[in-house]
Amino acid sequence: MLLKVENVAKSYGRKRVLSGVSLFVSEGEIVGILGPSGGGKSTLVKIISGLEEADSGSVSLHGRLGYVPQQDSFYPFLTVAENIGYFAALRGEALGKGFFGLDPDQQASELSGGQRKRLSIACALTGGPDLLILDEPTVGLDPVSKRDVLSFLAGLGTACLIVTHLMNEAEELCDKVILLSGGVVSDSGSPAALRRRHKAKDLEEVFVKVVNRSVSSGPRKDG
Amino acid sequence: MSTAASAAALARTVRKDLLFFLRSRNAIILLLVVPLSVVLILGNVFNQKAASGVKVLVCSEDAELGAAYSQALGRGKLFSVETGSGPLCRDEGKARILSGKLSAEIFVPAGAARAIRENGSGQGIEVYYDNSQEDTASFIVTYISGITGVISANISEEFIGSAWRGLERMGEQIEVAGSQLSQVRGRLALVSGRMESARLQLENVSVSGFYSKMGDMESFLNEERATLLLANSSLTGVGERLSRANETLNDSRALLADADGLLAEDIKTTDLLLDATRLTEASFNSSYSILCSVSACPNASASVVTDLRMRLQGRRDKELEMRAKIATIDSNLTEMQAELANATAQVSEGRDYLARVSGQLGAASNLLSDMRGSLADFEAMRNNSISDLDYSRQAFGNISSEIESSLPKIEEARGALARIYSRDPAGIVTPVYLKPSAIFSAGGFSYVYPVLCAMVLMFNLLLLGANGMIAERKGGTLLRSYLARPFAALFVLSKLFALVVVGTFEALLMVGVAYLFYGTRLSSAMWFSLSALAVSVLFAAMGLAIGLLVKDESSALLVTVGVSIPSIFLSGGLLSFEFLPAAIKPVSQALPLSLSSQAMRASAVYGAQPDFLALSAYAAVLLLASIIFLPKRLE
Repeated sequence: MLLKVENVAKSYGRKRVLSGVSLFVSEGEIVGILGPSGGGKSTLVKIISGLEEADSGSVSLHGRLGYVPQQDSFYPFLTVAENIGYFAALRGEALGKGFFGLDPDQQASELSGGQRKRLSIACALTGGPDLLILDEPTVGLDPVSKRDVLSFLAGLGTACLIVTHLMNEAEELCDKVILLSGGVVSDSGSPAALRRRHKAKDLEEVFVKVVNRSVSSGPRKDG
Repeated sequence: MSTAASAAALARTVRKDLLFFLRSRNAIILLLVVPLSVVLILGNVFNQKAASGVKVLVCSEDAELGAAYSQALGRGKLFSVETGSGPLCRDEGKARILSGKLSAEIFVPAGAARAIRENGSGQGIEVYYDNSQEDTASFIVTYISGITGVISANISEEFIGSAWRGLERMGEQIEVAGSQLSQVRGRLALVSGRMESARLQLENVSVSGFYSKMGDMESFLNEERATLLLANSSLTGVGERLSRANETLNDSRALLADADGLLAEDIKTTDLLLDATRLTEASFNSSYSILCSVSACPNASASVVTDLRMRLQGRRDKELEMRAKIATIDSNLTEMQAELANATAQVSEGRDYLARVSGQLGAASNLLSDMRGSLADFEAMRNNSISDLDYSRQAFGNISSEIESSLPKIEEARGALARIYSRDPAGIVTPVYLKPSAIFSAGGFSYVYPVLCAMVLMFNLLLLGANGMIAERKGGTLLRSYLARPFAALFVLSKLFALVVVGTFEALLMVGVAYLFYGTRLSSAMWFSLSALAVSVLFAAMGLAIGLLVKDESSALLVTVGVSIPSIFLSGGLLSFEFLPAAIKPVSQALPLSLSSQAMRASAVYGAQPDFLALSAYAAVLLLASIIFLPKRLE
């Protein structure tokens, strides 16, 4: 097991953001975290990344972590090679795993949307991470670019934890989906299993059902 | 991760940030255009060395001082001087100042120069100026004050110079007086010696001897008088005898005269006989010669006649001889008679003389009596003189000792006067000469540009540091970098390093431009470079801290401007600390820009080692805050 999150809870003051969250990511597995805004996705990612500590529970990561933020998280004034080289240097290696079809001498600010995302992922892949966390990796991309990114991720072979609200994207790409709503894991499983369990035609319907159920049960409070 | 890997990571981070500064148009504009324009524009402004054409009206009721002010202000191009006089001049000048047509007016009241010269002070010179222009007003007041000082000094110097010459003469007179006193003292000593001698002589005079001698003289005179009387009596007897002898002589002469008469008669008879004889003899002789011629010579008859003639001749000779003797005797008697007469006259004269001598002796005797009285008076006077001499000597001694004690004082006074008048009167009026030496040979900008460097560094590094950090945060690169290498210190220091490189370069660029265009020179390139480094560290750290604290770029700009503008005015660069309120001054002096300006100025202008301690402390605190805050500001 590459990533093991067990009963993680987190509160900001009196507001509980996460409660009893558990998830597991195996090697080569692509896991999607779905949830409405304010559902605790970002907090969970921070805890997994080590940026924040959980109030309770545990996170264990057996391997190195790579992170791909939602926006273009590279330096537009650097070339592709310079960007990748910089992050590679931070990780203690000469260069990353290559340029992934990008022109190494092209300045990052001149790349297309898909190329930018690819560069961003390439930067995250420097140092050979065992787990890649991606935050909304296809937001803002045109369909062609989106397709390009998704195929790129699928072909990586690296375990990914994708935070997204794009259901079709998750359904297409993820081996396993975790529905996070109101700070708790409402449900989880493969897209197909979730559809079956909630008798829905697609993940979006599953998501709506789960969220509505969470809203009707009311917000969770400490104690 | 190894140290080498850490160093490589650090180098990559620095390189990345430096590439940003090279490739970002905004960064280049900020780093090049701002400092260049600041140096070029402000250099031109601050290098203006002095004001010019300041309009001043000299409104004077005193021709001398008015001319002095006009002349002094008219030198150079600082002032444009107008002159005026009359009762309305002053108010008209004030009205023109109020209307902005004049910068200042100097009003010189009547008699000001004379009052200063005679009384040492005069009526105040009035200066009216436009205080709405603070710098110009300060310049005018300072300049006119300086001129007033010079004019006053000139007048005072004239007066003091005269007094000085008087002192000099006084010193010479004191020297002469001292010399004369010394001479008087010498003479007093001499007189005193002589008085002592006189006193001794007076004491040695023995009056009693005089009295004894006078007694002797009196006795002598009496004896002489008696002798004279006796001599007179003797002379009287001699006279009588002489008279009788004269009578006898007269008788003798009469007898002689009778005898002479007789002889004369006898001679006449003889002469007749002689004539008769001579005739006889002549007859005999002729007869004899005839006889002798005819027959033998009858000797006997001729010789008898000759013999007779010879006898007669002898008798006549004897009678003549007799008469000669009688004549001689008569002559002798006559002489004797004359001598007797003379003796008688002498006796008579002797008697008269003796009478006179006798009278004189009496007078002498009387004189002696008088002399005895005088001698008594003399004795009394002598005693008084001795007493007076003693008193005078004592007085002379006192005077001499006073003169002696006065001489050093005179010498001291002379020395004091000499010390005074040896000085230059001008040095008394203005004993302290200000030697204005401009530190900034190239003009005011030499002083300002280090401060401008600090200001530009502050603004640019705050903006670049804050925006760079915000861009990293917002772009996710900070988070990504942190996740890749979770060492906040490394990240902060690497960004700081790049900013410091840029800041130091920027400072040196400004220095170079200032040198090329305005000739400013660095007193110490080493200390200035280190100062630029320290200031860059400080403001880069501050910029990074701002970038971690504020939300976005606009907030960063707001904070940068909010920090920079008050700092610029409070850092002592544009407004001196001395002009700031007391409550604000300590805060102002502790501002990072104040410390930075001082460091840059100290190194650039004075070549001094700046105080890096406070700068380092600020930078350390800010860096520490950034390092602590960075993990909490990941987005």
